[in-house]
Amino acid sequence: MKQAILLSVNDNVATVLERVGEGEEIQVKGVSQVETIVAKDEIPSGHKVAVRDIRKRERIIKYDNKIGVATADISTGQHVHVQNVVSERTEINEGGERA
Amino acid sequence: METFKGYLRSDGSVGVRNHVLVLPSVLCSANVARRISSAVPGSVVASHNQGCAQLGDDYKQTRRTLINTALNPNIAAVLVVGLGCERVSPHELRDIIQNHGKPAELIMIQDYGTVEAIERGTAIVKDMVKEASRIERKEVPLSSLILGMECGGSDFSSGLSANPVVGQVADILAQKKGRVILSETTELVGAEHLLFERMSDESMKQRFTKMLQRMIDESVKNSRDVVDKENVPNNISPGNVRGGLTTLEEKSLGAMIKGGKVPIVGVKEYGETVDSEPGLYLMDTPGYDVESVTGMVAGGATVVLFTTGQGTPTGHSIAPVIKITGNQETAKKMGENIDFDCSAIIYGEETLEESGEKLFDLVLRVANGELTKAEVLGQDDYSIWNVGIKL
Repeated sequence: MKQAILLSVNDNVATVLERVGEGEEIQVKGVSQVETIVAKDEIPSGHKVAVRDIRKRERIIKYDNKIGVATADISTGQHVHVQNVVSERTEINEGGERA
Repeated sequence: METFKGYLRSDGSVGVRNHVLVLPSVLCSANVARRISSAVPGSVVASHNQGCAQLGDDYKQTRRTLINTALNPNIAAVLVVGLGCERVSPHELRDIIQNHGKPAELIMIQDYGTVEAIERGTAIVKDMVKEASRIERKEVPLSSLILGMECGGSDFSSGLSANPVVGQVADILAQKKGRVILSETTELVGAEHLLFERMSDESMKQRFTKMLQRMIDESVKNSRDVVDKENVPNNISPGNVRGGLTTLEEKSLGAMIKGGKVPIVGVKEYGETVDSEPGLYLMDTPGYDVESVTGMVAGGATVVLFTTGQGTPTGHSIAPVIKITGNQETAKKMGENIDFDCSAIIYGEETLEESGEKLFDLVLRVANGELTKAEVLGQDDYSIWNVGIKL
């Protein structure tokens, strides 16, 4: 089975260690007990997958720290990347407001 | 006492290399400087495109970087190559280097023209290399090592393995009272709360905040662009994005680990010399690799630890650059450029501590004279961070 690493129990994303196809199962390992989720998108090697549902404007947490803000609702198993996350510190939303 | 064999300089500093440096004061003399250096194996050149039509902080930064590059302990002697009409004074460069007790000579192109300047310069450098070769390595304490920590071409693996391993080396050297420089201001944005905790001094925090704000202000001006048909953030590279990094904060949290848990004892300007106190120094540099490495080398770094996810050939003309990757594919594809593969950590086949000790051992071997792959391949990069508009 494909594998992903979760770096902290508070993280809502994990890093997949190889390319995962849509519909494939991913074993999430690391700091918590091993759990299995199903990929809802194709996820390239080294990219992030949501390990729980994330609402629009909710923070993305990795390394037990905030790494950005969701610009759309993201469900468990979806690819989390530049298409649905912006930097809270340096990026501006399409509407011109700070994320 | 744990030791290595280095070159003890007259000011008490210790080099791990014994280069003769050919130093152009300005872009206009860089070609002649390169040709002098290429005529004399054993010499190195710090070729750059600054030195004139610069004002204020920009001029000061170039001048400071050139002086401190020449004063790096890896340098035994210096030939300054001037043009004659430039803003950075070649006479002053030579005098300052000499006043620090380092042999330095000057050749001015406007006195002779290209051909004779190359001939005269070559004759001087030839003698300097011969003289420098008489200096022997001596047993010196590990506390005399100054490491510069850099990352470039980062991807998901950098924050999971290569940067934490470099952090282990920082911790090991700090225990031995050595000094470590962490740079790339941009790549500390989003991780500053973790660095503030390690600063005892309020003025240090204020200077660090100001450094960060300059990079944030620049980032906000141009937050995204379309590159290769994809809408990507501008403050991380398209390669970072392809490699799985999404935001600057994510990159920073992975990057700041290179400084380990070492207490922060100083916040330095670009190219400013670190103090004698052991510990971690933060230096204000861009994330642009060669400019960042040049700043740290001017600050005194004698060995650079450079992590890369996607791979890069980068080296430096003054200091050996050890390249480290946590990406298995990169270790395979760019094996000729990578000195240390720590991808085993990601797959749980090796612990961070085990890998850190192996890397520290490699650092000592390089400090004792073993060549890095960038040195073997002649990768003599050098570039000064330019912070103003040239007139």
